[in-house]
Amino acid sequence: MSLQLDQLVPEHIRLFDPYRPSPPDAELMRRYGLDRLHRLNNNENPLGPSPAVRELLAGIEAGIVPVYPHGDSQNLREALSEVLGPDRSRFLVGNGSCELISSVVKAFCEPGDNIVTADKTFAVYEWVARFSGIEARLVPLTRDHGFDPDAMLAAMDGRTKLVFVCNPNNPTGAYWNEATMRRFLDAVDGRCIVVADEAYFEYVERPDYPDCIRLLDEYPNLVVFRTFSKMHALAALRVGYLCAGEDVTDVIGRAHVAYSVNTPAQLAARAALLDRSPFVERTRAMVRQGREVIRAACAELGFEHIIGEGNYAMIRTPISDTLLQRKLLRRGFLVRTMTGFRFPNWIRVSLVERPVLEEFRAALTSLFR
Amino acid sequence: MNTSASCIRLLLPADAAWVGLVQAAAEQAGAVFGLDRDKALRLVHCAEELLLFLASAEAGDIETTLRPLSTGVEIGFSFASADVDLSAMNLVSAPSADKTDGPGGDRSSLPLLLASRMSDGFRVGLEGRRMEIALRVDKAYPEPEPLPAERVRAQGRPTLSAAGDADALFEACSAIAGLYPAHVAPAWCASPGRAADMVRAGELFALEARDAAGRLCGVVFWEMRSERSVAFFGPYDFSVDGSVAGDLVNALLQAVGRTGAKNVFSGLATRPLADHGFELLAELPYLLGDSPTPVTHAVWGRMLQEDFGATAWTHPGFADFLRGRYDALDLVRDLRPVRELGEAAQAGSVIGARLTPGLGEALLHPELNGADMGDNLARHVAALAAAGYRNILFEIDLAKGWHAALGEHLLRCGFRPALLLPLGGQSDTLVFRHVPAA
Ligand SMILES: Cc1ncc(COP(=O)(O)O)c(C=O)c1O
Repeated sequence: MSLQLDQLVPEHIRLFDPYRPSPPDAELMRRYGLDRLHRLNNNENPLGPSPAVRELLAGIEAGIVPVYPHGDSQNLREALSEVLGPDRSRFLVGNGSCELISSVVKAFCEPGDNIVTADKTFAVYEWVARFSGIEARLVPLTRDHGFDPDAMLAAMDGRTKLVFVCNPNNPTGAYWNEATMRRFLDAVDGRCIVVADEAYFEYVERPDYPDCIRLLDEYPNLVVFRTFSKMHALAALRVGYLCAGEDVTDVIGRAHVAYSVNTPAQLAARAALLDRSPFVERTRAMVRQGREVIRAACAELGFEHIIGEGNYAMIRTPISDTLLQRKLLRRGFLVRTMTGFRFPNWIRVSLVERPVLEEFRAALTSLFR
Repeated sequence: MNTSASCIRLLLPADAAWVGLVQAAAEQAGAVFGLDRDKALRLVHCAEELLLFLASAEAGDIETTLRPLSTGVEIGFSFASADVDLSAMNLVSAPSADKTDGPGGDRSSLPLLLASRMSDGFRVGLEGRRMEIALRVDKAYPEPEPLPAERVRAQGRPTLSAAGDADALFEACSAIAGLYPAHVAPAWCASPGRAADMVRAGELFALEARDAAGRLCGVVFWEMRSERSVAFFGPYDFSVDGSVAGDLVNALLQAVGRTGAKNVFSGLATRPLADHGFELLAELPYLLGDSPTPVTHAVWGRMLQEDFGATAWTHPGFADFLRGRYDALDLVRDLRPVRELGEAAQAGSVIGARLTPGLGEALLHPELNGADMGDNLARHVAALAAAGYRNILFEIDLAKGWHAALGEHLLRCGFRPALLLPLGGQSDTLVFRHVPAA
């Protein structure tokens, strides 16, 4: 029997190049002969999880495993409602916010529709659109590396169903303040859904940074995404959520797989949310320090850098980002290359504990001095 | 196989009785697909000879495909490889005693003859379990006298955009012809109409830089060399101060950065690119025309994606070269030496080939291993050299142990490792260059 795969697979899948994650740390360390590996590539929070989550995870009984989780994460949505305000019916929880990106595209887009986002931003919006056979319209960033509201409005047409605004933007850290966000939402005027991806919400300390959940009542076409992977340090558990108007949440929920969030993840996310320890504040302090270390390193080496909000920084060096990634990996540092984000010769570095970044700085300096 | 709506297919036995059928199909397809009379006759000739050749090789049931390309027509013959002695499919095969007297005489180097004299491109190779042999006949494009060109003093920072229409490409190709030596001008530069057809078909990409006054300040071209790698031409910088090359390279990288391509390297580089984040992969001497002195083509490349280490097969004959390259490129590889295990190889080997007669370049690659690989290689080199191919390259994929094991034959036959392309194939590929004196 021969399988005629070409005839079974739609063109947009055939042409799609899948994301290939890095090998397991132990395998990388073996290949590179390393005795330690610092992960600066995924914007993880190395301080986490918070003490309350640690305690909870240590106490999880194997007995919960044979039983399905809450299919709709009810207790977690209760907690989200308690802490953030909107009714629990307006939250939808996913297997990471990546799953929610997929659900929102499935819920609103059909062939011929398009989505609008930036060219240099988190790649998953573009990927999900493309492998779903939906056109992704990519609008160049402004000169100061932010989303360009006017150009995005100009890119929209009658078939635009979704606009993804990464706020603050990964990887540039630029953000729309509340006035810009409102102006944009006013101009869109309900013609399509606007997703504000606030994956790094908890890291932003600027007074003019908008909490889009507070804008939901004014803008029924607004959908806010957040995740437990970043500040709350639950990346391995895969939990993210969205908040929107009740009917919009209901529509997205129809395209969303129930039971996709497992019980330990739901429990841990709830514990993280309710934790009142200084964990979040400690993380913010770590990131503030991290920015200073990277700024100083770049000043010393004469390297261009982009440091905005979020727990990451971008650095431009005189060699290709891919070569630098290999050189740094040999020295025990995993960084993200930025050619795939359309920033050739830039790397992105997660802002972690100061001693680790000091070591990173020393490695970088040794390569370029 | 690539199928397109207007592709003509014939299923027939490889039998000389059907020559008229394939000739008629080729003649009509040639005309419908836009070849002029002269070129269409070449296609007819290719069709006839290939069918007779496959008949003599007893290829069984064959599929003939006539397919319009952006720049011409390709005629391909494919057949199930299982019951056929594939060694006859080599560009040149060993003359076999029992076939030289039959009708048609010795056909052992017919594919090469056809490829060199009748067609503008040739490839032979296995596609899964089918053997495919295909010849390309290009449309005859006008080759206009280039427009006069001079360097421009750009007004402000030029803006970059995709170039595609024939006039814009003519302007760019004229500037290249006027401002750069001939050996760094891509072949299609002589016929901008051809370049425009390639761009329209998505086979070639071009980005041009224009200043505020709309004057052309530079251009860069690229094409997918394989599913995983991009080859670029340029950057051609027409500004007086050379200020445009950097923007062109950056735009090229932005354009290919989020595609499936894993690496990008120069097909024809115009300048050192170390300052633009490229690594020097090789400096290849090329013998052009009858010139006794080679020109040097520097190959500049860089990866587009992260690399976390991999495994590569190696052979003592080129292990040192590999180690040197991997060190220079900071690539971590588990090098696995191939071993002679004494297993029986089938008799006839098959070497795949892509010929570019205009450049005198033959790029060979292994398709099927066989006991006669050493002799087969030597036959190829001798016949190609005799046919005027002065740049003979052989590419192996280090993901395949049996490719690496060819190291012995390659060295003995005068090939020397010259260019390592990280992730150029399934894994890294290694390109050998034939050095006649070696
Ligand atoms: C902007 C942005 N959105 C979403 C995500 C995905 O997060 P999750 O782990 O919740 O799928 C990330 C992770 O890198 C991100 O940077």
